[in-house]
Amino acid sequence: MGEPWNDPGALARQFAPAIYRLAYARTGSRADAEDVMQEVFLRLVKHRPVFDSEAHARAWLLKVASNCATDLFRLPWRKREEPLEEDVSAPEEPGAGSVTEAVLSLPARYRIPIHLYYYEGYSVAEIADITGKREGTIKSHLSRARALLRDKLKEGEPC
Amino acid sequence: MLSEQYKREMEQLGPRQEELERLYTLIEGGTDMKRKKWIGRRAVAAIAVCAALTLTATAAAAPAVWRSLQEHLGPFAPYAQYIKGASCADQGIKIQMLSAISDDLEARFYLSVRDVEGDRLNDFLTLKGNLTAGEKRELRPGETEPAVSGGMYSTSRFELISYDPETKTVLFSASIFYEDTARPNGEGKLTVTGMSTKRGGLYADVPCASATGGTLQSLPLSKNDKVIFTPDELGGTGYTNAVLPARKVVLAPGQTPMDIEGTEDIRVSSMGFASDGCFHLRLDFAEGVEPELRKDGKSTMMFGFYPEDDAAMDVRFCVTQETLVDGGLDVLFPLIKAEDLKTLQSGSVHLSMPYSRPGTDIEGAWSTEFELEHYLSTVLDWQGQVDGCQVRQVALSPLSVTMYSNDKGGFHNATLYAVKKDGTEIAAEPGGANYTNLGAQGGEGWDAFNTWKFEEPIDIEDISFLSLKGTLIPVN
Repeated sequence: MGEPWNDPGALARQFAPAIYRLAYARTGSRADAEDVMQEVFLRLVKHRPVFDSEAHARAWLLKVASNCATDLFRLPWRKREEPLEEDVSAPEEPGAGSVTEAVLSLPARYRIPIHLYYYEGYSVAEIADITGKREGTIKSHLSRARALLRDKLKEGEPC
Repeated sequence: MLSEQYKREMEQLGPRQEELERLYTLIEGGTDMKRKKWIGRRAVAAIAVCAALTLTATAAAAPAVWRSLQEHLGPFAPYAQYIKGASCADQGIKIQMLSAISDDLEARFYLSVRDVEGDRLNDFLTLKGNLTAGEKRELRPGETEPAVSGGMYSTSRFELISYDPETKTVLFSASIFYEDTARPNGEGKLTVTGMSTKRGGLYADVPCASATGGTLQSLPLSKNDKVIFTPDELGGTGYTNAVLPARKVVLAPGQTPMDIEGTEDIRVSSMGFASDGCFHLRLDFAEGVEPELRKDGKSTMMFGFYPEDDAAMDVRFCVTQETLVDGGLDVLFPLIKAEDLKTLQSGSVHLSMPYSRPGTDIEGAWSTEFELEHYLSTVLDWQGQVDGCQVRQVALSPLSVTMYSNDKGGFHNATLYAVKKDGTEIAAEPGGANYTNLGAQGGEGWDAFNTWKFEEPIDIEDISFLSLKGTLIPVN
């Protein structure tokens, strides 16, 4: 357990921002993304899984983050879509016409695959593994999401 | 490129630094406790032999605070910078930057908080604010981004070192780990927007040696009891609520009372096997003490049983159900049964419990700027093999060593030694490290950035070699 990928503190310092960003891509809310980020690392400390590599640890964290972010929307008291929140002290929001804004406007089921593909650089097979879906499903989600993104970004272009 | 633009935008969107600091505190709380004790023991030894301390000239101002500071610095006291004229006051509270010690890997700061009008502070004081001292380092030739991720030049994490009730003064430390992406730039700024004595944190081990195999008096779960964490919430571990016993009970209070070292807010009320056949720990809270819960009412606490022998550690020992009961908390370990008694008696339950307690909130505006001096690292004129790994750069300061290599993880746990010209050695324990798997990026092997911190400062001119895993690296 001496490797850095089995040290929760080292993993938090290395991967917390990535976990936050995946959660943000799914929820569109900073507060929720921060909650998910904390939850993922609490689960890591509580469970202490043994990883055999940094890549293994990263994939586990992203998988738990994907589940947590999706679970947020299953809570009965929660609205299906959360508006972006106002917070003057927080980092800036995605600008109008930005790729991030376009990703956040995609149907929820496409956002995690798109984020894992474009931000994390995972392959279709790896995304299928992380999200627990079949490769065919991921392929179709990515294909549909990319078409939607293309349309949305074209719409935002100046005339 | 869509991908590049998306990455750039996401990098701008957080998370907030204070949330990261909060997470690190939560995750590393237990480790910090151990480190604090270790520094304490070393400091006592250092004080005994260190007659001349550079800070004694100012000792008249608040002797207990300076004494505490010198104790904390230990052998590093002569290398610390005394910060002059950096203080501010608001709401009858004076904050003063006292001292700093820094190289280009890490900076540690000391500041005092003094109630000059009342008696509102105590050793539960927490600060809300930020200390900034540095900037992002410039890119090196050929770099598009720093070789390692992480690193920062500000912190919102202030660690309480001591409280002196006579002078009503609290001493805090704060650290910035620059890693290899940031650097000190000679300037520092402290901003505090509030403080509170309402937040407590217990990071302690409760030894289980006194547990017996007998069944303690148990109570059925009542409608007033509230379950705030279940095995299901561990997620993806293979353990679910199916491991919970059919009989739903908690331990009756007051059967094996025991104090917990370092706190009067929380104590053990009962510990042992309940009538459900499982091990339980019941805690009592002092009046006004309440565990900190998430917005959805779920637990932020962590409990796990740790056997004395690391090899006997098993994930099942960390599977718990937490139930708020009258005046306290019952922690059920559904997978620790009577047959585990011997293992149980050899170890302890680790508690990690943020909580609120009776106290005072003080809002205000405190801000002060100061100059920060730091020791520059020297890059050694050496590249070579250590333990079969290629080392491409080693840098040395009086406080630390940094190294770039293609190590796969072996350096992370290895002690490094500075060998003096008289043959004696000064040890440096591993600090933060960063490992990048180049294979995942289409490359080959690993890119490692390792750091070590000396247990006492070194005079570089007095060092002949660094020694790591049997390899000698020439210094001069």
